Amino acid sequence: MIETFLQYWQFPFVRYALAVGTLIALCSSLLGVTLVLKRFSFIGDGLSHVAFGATAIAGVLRIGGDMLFVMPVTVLCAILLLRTGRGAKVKGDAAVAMVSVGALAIGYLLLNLFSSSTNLSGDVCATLFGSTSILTLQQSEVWLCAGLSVAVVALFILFYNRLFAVTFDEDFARAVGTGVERYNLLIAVVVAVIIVLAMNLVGSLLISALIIFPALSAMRLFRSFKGVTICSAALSVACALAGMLIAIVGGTPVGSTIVAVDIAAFIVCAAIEHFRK
Amino acid sequence: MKRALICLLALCLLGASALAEPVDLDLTALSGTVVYSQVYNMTQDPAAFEGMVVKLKGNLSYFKDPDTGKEYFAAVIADAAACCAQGIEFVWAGEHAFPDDYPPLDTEVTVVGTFGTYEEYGYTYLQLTDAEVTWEGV
Amino acid sequence: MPLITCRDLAIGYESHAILEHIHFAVDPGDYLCVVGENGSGKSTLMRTMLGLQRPLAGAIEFGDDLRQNEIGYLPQQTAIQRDFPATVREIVLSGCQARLGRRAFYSRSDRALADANLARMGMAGFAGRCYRELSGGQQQRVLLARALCATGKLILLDEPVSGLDPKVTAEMYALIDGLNVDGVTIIMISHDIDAAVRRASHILHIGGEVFFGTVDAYRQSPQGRRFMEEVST
Repeated sequence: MIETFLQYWQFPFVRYALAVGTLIALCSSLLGVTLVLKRFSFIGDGLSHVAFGATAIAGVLRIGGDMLFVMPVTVLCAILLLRTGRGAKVKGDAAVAMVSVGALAIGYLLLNLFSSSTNLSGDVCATLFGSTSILTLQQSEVWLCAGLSVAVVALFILFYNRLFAVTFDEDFARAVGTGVERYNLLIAVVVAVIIVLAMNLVGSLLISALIIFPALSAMRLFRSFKGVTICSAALSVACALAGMLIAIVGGTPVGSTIVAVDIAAFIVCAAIEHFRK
Repeated sequence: MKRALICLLALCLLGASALAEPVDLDLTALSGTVVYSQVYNMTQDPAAFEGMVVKLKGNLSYFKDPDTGKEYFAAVIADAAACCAQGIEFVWAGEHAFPDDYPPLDTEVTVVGTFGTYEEYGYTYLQLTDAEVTWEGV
Repeated sequence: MPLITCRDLAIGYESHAILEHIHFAVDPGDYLCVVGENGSGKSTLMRTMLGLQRPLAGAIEFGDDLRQNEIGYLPQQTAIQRDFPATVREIVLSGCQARLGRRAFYSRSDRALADANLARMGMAGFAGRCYRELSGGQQQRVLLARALCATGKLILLDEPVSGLDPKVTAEMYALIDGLNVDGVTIIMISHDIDAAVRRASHILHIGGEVFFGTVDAYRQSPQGRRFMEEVST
């Protein structure tokens, strides 16, 4: 077992994947708690489809290093989706659904019409399900992912108390002068960044799982916000590592293996909660 | 004394493995996910692997350029999600004619060859030259 | 000098005014009850005073060194809060968020303030407990402690006893009375006019004709008389 593992460990891309995958899993779980509690779970799903559409456009336009294009587009959509929550003609979940399926359809259409790639279904599949993206990151992408992940974790720790306040009670926070809009914007931007990062790990269709499963599992077990947050981060990292190792050694697709481990963890947590009562 | 013995033992092991295995990069023992990723990375940064003796397993694929009559052989490796495939071209050492000397197309072949690149029509291609080709039943 | 003065205030959403020509002033130490039918605009008035929405016309002035963000607020609970995974201390501490300033984390004095206000609400032993496992009355006390962390001057309460049984309601009223005795100015929204008249110093009756004045004046007013008759029959 250890021998097999060491055999894989000698490949630099395996080491990069484990490091970057761990960081991405850590980031995605942190805001999961807030998103679940604010009933925003589907924004993650919507934005991941936007990221897919943006990736398609980047591919068609042949923009090198597409993360630099996909990131701003997704961030912009995140801000717009959050804005529609108030005073817009199309309300919350309908707007998310609209943008999400719209981006998916247009993205695939563009790819079909204009793509120069010889392996269209391969490109689409890799973007949707992650395929081996995390194992085939270029050196520059590894550093970009690592840098952004560290920034997300730092922002989260720095604004932890405000995020808690805004998540628990927006009106109270606004009444005592906390810039709620600013923190909602921060949440939207960070979620967008996480989604673009996580596309490399699990692909755009499975990102929501990475964001919400660890949070939901942790909420079965812990009663304090801090406990839920820490447990969610730990679970997410553990599941991602386990998933990646199983995928690498067993030859299964990385993204769906990680999500399968997340689901298993959720079932275990739900069972523990059930038998505690 | 004990330490010296261990060192000696380690040296022997190293020496033995070097003798028995002239292959620099053996992909046959790895899982599909990792093989695919490794081959993909080799296509992205071929210079880092230039001159290495690579051993890999893939499905035989054949292409003949109708204009030049030149024949190309490749071992194709699919990823775990089965949506992407990477092919590595190889040139079998010695005289071998297609299809008589080759197994049927899509047979899983094991190829050991020296990794390198060549230019054709302005593109860079990857190949394993001076290759040894084996498959089940031979 | 009044803490809050509303002059010719009009409130509502977008350009649709729910209420117009509201005048009233709240002095330090007052106990003002805002009464009126459901849908008469009580909550909208409170949201406007808290700065959560803009007045359509008129002005709200803050005096006596009170800033808008120094109003403690006890909102009606939302479904999200009822099953929120957080400890009592985490929630009370969030009342100190305005004291954070540029800091990222709460200081020892913030924690001490949170604990003191929990004790003041009779919830000292509950700091480590999970909020969603508390009873409705206990949850209200926790939120009141949080409001007290935000300010010691003025507290706005939005239907603080809705959904509570009579015994817990009485305890809640007693707690609020106690705060008022300690010098905290109270503004409370209520549809329990009976309790309002017995406890408050001033009444703001909205919906139909607006009345503002002391409880004694309210008893003599047409609105007050109508209410008294309803109660006696």
